[in-house]
Amino acid sequence: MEVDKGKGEAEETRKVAEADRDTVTLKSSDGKLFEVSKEAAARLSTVLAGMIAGGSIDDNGTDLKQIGSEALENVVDYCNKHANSIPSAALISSSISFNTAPFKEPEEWERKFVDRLSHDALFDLVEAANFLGMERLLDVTCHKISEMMKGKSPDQIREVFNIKNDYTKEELEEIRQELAWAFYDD
Amino acid sequence: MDPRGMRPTATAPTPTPSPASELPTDVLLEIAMRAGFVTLLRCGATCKALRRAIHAPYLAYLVPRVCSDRDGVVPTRLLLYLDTGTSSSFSLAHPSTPDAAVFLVDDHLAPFVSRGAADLLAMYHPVTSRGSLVLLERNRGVEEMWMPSSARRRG
Repeated sequence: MEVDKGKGEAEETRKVAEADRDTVTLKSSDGKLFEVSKEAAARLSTVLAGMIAGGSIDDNGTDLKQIGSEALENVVDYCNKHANSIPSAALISSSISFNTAPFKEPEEWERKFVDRLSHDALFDLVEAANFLGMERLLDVTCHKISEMMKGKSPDQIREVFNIKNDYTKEELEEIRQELAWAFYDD
Repeated sequence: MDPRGMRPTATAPTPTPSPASELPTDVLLEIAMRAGFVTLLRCGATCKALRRAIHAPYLAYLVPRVCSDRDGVVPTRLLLYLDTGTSSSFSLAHPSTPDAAVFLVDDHLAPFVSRGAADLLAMYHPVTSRGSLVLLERNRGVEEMWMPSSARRRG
């Protein structure tokens, strides 16, 4: 092995080594580092795929300032579990675009994955999935959270999802009349 | 000493204790779309941003998606939706229900499904419209259907 390498050469070698690495390091808003399989990250997140393809992955930890460590840990955990499960072609090709395909049912392990999360952790995770362009994880988390929304009145939905009512009384009454059937349908 | 206790309360807006963080509208929309059609519409009654999102022209794309979802709850009175995305043709909301069969066969409407909508519309009168939705009532006065009004968007 050559010992006396020029600086340029060493740099070159390091770059090659980076390109060859099969993991990427992600850094949460609070500075914690997480490693995730490059293949899984690129496959599951359009944003990470773009960063990997564009060479903007930092070997010392790619900053994800919008994502806290707990949510990022769940993201990484999901990627690793996903890499270990047998991916079906349907999941990979699923698209978030407003197509007419039905939503994909979560698989058993995905259901368990979100079931164990607290309310806050789930909400943080759905935001992280949205931010990272993780269509499948967004699908799974939204599916879980939709159970908290189903059948609820507008008032109850506001409470659970911390939505501020910015309607006047008159506007609300108008909507209520317009949607009367939707309020009494079930 | 708890340093947080030292923080003056008046300077920064302290986050109100809330059951959950506020989710962005697009995420709430994704969730609402999975909660069924009725809940989706109820969400529009929670705040203006959600109502705008739900009644935006691309609801035309959401309705078929909700309708084709196994868990999607489509009210039985929703008979058809107008697919403005590709062909501007009607599709049945409940393709395999007895209601749909009666609707198609007894009312001789099959030719109109998956075709232009002009003739079919003559059988209905608009009750109310808001955003991209028009509520139509059948002239006989029993069923109702919702359809996105494509005209405004396309014009």
